[in-house]
Amino acid sequence: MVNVCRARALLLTGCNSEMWYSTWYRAVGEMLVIVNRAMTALDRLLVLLTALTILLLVLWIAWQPKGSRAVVLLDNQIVRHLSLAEDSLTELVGHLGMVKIQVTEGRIRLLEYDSPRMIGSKTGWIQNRGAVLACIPCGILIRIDGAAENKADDMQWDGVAR
Amino acid sequence: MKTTRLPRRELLIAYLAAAAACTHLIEAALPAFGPWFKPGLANTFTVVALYGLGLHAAVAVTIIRVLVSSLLMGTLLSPSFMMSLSGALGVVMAMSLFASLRNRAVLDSSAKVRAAAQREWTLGPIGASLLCSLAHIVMQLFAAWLIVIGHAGVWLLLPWLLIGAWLTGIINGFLAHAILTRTGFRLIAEVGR
Repeated sequence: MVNVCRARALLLTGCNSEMWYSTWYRAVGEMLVIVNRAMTALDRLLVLLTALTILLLVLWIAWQPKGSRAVVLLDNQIVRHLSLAEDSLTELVGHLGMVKIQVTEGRIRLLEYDSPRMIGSKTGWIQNRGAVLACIPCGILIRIDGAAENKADDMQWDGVAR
Repeated sequence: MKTTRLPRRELLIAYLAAAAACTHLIEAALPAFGPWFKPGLANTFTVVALYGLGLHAAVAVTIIRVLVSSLLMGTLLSPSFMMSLSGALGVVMAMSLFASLRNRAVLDSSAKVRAAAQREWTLGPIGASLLCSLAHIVMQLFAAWLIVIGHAGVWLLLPWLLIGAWLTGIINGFLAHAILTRTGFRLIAEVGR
């Protein structure tokens, strides 16, 4: 605690960058020690276990293989298949007017012109299998598939649509 | 030690709920964290109520906080209210599951009692807050899946949201611990019984 106060005092009074880094480092370390002191054995175990689980989940998501094809759905019905191998720019009319779907270098993105929160555009590029882009108000959803399961998947979705 | 008149249990619940509702409102007004991430400082007061006043008080504080803040923001019964209510329900479920694992001795004034309590396999405020915030985000995503989006692709967001929940859970738990040890909430715990 003393070190934290000292770090703050140094920051206020001004010091060179080397001093700043060392005190910053020490202040963070001190904070960690304080937090650690406030924890019980079960708390520590929980913190570690949840951190590991989250790490595994993130790695699992990041290591999904890249997809080869995107399926575009309007109101839960397939309207377009786009190959990610060739670059393209598709225009599509959703509930809120025209949107553009752009494919470049194996990635795909959705560009809306008018949507309350523009979540579809803000999501940016997606490329991994299973990844999803959605503009709920437009009723448009883009999903990336692998190559192998296309046939079975389409059958299933067509069945649902009918 | 000089004895002072302590506020009654109901009054303390009201104080904590008011503090939590204020924090919720201030957070809702902060634009800096984007649509997917919120520090969730209001949950600090839930944890304080859980350790200071018990499970029922914590449930009351959570539900009152959601109702009051949505009334003040004018979002009662809208989708965003549903989302925060579902988060609160997740917190309530998690709390009732681990309530028996709580350990108030971690907040004792004597260092010896505290050290002994910390070696036991019981939950301190930090662990409780961590579990609460993880339950909050999972339940909220579940609600988003059921009510708003309806596509299983939402679950791909879960790991990124969990990172935020993990961090804020630990920070809020530490804040709750600090409040509980420093503002005489041990005395409140006596009243709360």
